[in-house]
Amino acid sequence: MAAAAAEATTDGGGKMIILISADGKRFEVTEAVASQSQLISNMIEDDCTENGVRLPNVDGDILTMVVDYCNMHAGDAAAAGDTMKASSTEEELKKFDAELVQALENPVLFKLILAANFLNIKSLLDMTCQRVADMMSGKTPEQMRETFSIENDFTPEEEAAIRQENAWAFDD
Amino acid sequence: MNPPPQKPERRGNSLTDLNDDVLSEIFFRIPPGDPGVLVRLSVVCKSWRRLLTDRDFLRGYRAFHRAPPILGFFCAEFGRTTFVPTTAFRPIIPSADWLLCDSRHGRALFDAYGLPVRLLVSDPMTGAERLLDAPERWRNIHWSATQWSAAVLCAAHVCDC
Repeated sequence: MAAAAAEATTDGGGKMIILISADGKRFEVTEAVASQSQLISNMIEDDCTENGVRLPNVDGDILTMVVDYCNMHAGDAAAAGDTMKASSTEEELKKFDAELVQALENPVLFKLILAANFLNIKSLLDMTCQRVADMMSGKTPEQMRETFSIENDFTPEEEAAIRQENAWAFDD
Repeated sequence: MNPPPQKPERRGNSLTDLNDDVLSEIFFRIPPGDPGVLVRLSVVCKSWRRLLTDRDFLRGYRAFHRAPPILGFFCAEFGRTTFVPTTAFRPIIPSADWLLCDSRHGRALFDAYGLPVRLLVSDPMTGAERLLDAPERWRNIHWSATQWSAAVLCAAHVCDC
């Protein structure tokens, strides 16, 4: 019993939680890290994380990114007491976030959005969705279809009618 | 025989794999100051158009951005009304023969500038127009003979204008 209790705590005294991805990979994180997910935070409150948290919608590769993100952002709260440290951490975080979303290929980015939505991690959802929204701005419908591999299912007449109705939005 | 690939691995490869809730989260983040982006998105495919024109989405978009942006303003001088845009948005407004009386909450009120007095309410976003007859006793008052004005009164719920 004493050994089990020791295993369940970190050096800092925080309780550990096991996250299990769709493909069976296991990630051990502190409660503070995992609580950034509102879904897991609710599970912790309801005391049902004892046997690990299975995440059937999230692949191991994606969960690795999510855990990295949460690890980085959990440090933010710990440094909040020290102003100097907090501001340097904030810069590091911004850099980490920017590099994370800029580097991603579309399919990975979309999977990360799905994971952030499922796990309900607001800041990650915000950041990843904003990245896609930024990619949409300044593009013509043709360029958007090409960028996101979307088939045009309008007839030429239907498309022409919508364009005519809103001609101002299609001025080059 | 190899087992079929697991479902979760195939999900999310394309934007079309994202459900409406997640797509809405992306579309919410299109800046309202550049409304042309939403219009162009609505031409990409039918499902996006359906989502973008859905009342629930539009309500959510307004809630997400709170105060709507200024898309531009009307400027009336020397018997001419012009729209001065502050974004890429261009309104659909009546011909130059119509003079602006008032504008409020997305509606503009124009005067036909002659006799008999006629008024036109327009939605510059959609170009929808509705012609109104002026009240009987004012219908033949010459614009230069007396001071008069007209205003848009807004009946929209939760509106302080």
